[in-house]
Amino acid sequence: MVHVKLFVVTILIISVKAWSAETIHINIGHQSTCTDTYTAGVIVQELKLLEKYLPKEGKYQGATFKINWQDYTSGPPITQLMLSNKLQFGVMGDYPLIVNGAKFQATKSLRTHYIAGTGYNLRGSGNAIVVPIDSDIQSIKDLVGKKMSMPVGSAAWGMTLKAFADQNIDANKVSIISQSPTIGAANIAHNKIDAHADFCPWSEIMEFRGTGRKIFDGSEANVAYLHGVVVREDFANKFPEIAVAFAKAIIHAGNWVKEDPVRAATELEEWTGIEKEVQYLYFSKGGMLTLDPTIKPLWIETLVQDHKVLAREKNLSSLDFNDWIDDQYIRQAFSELGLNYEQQLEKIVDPIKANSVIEPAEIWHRTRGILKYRSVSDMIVSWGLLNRESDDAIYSAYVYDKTTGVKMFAHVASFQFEKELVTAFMRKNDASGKVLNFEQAVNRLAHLSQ
Amino acid sequence: MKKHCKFLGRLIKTNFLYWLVFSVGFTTIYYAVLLLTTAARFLTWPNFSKHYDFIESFRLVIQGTGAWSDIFMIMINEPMLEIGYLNTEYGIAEWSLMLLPFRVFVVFILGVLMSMIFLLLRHSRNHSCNIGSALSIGGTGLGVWFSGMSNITLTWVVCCSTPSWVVGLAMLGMSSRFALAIEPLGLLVNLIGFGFLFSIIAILTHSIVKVGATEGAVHT
Repeated sequence: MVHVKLFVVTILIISVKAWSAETIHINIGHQSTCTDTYTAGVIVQELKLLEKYLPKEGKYQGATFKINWQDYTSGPPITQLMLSNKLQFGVMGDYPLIVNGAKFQATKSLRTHYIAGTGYNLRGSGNAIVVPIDSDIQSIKDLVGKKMSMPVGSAAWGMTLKAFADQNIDANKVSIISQSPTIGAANIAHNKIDAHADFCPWSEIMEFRGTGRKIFDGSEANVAYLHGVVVREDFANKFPEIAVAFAKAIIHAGNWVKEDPVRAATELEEWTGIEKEVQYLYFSKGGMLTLDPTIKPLWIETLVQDHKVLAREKNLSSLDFNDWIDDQYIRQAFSELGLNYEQQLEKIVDPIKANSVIEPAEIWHRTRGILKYRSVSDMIVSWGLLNRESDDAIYSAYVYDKTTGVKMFAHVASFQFEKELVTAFMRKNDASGKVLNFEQAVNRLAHLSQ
Repeated sequence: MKKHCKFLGRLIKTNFLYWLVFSVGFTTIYYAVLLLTTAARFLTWPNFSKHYDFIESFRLVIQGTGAWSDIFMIMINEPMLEIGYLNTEYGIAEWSLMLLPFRVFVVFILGVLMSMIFLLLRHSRNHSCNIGSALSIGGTGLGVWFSGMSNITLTWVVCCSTPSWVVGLAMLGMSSRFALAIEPLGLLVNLIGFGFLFSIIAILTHSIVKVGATEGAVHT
């Protein structure tokens, strides 16, 4: 009897040791050219935040983690590799997320779960339609009979279809082709296409580089734009602590950005190659992106509507949202970090309201950092003075579009002069009275201040 | 039915080399034509190729998938080779031809069926029982067109980032919006194509058996 017990104990010890010595592969698909995915992608990767929160106790004692980050320019290849069991986690935008969930639910045995968000813009900013800088096109109504490109199946594509429907434009009267962000941006720069719609941050990259001009911002479609993380169900069931660790890493990454947006923008330029001035537009206070990993009821409503578009346009199969959305891991992460999930769940930042109570203009100065101004005209005057000191003293200047509340580069805005008040607009047509571009505004105020 | 199968078996056995060379040749030509027409369409020669460890991919799929029907549906999209044109400025493949083991096998089967139809037609001609050869050739052409189109595995940055049969249609001028809308019909189009080919084989075999031309030399 003693021998039998000894045998059982030995087997148990060997089994536990064998399990403990397991190598756990964590493969994550992310998109380093999509700003809204960074808090679950490149920031977590570069700051090694997942490693920081990975479980080390209990059944994970002695386990070796092999983390493999794979970078893609869009969501569909990530879904394909998740189906093939080559990736366990995927980070992507709302439309690709829905395709991911539906494709997995179309199988008998495989499922993914939407476990956390990364960030959002309540009004839909991040997606936009851009035309070449010297184009005559001023609004999407001018696109009838023209040729435009976009990554078909992306959130920018969904936004474009909705924008056309909202303004009673027959989508069939616009020649639409699919195009990747990089080549679409190059075509705009070389005037090879009439317009290009894209997701974050491509429109702003084109504006910053001086090659493109926005004629439609996603906020005009007024549908929330969000990104998030999906995980294979089999992996999350086997290693729930790793899913929680990933959720904690997302929270940490968001806090790291909020602590110092300038540092974040500068580091992100280093890691992704996308200019820090563009990054700042997204990650600064009043920026285009609100970092928040909670899964809000409003997001679910938005995703349901997005699914309808995909079902109609791409014959996408059904998606059971109740089964797909699983907030247990992000809730657990909040709890383990001592944070209040319910409280965060209720917070929704509306850029129109939020940006109306902060300084209306900023300059990012090479040596003095971020300079905030109480009025747009103060910033314009300051720009003129600072530029006189040195041609390259200023990285960039930012204002807010009066119509949508969207933060934007000052050099692409139109400025309405009404007595003493200077107001910034994204589109010239929205302004009235005396309307000047940035250069003209700088000259006018310089002239007045002399 | 037994007679039909026996006859087809003899036909293949006696013409095995022809049958094999035709089937392999068809598969090779199919992919060569796809590659060359795509290169000609875009006026860019392929400048990259990438090998995929599809055995390891199959292992991962089998390991991570619960149902055999799912395993099959996922494995058919696993590539073994990609050849295409990479835009080096942006690091993006503008177009590529993907060789997917399962699709290559399907194209090979397409070649097998075509070679059987030609063997049957030659046999009927040699035995002076010409049975609707014009109709058979027309039907074969349609069948090969349908199945051939639905097994195209091209990617094109302007249409699809994952290999899809509708890229062929988009390259022919169909709008990518419409092409994507009909993408889920690929299996149906494929089945219609194979349906044509199997029907022609069945009709030809039945006609030969009916007129009693199955005996004697089947070497064509």
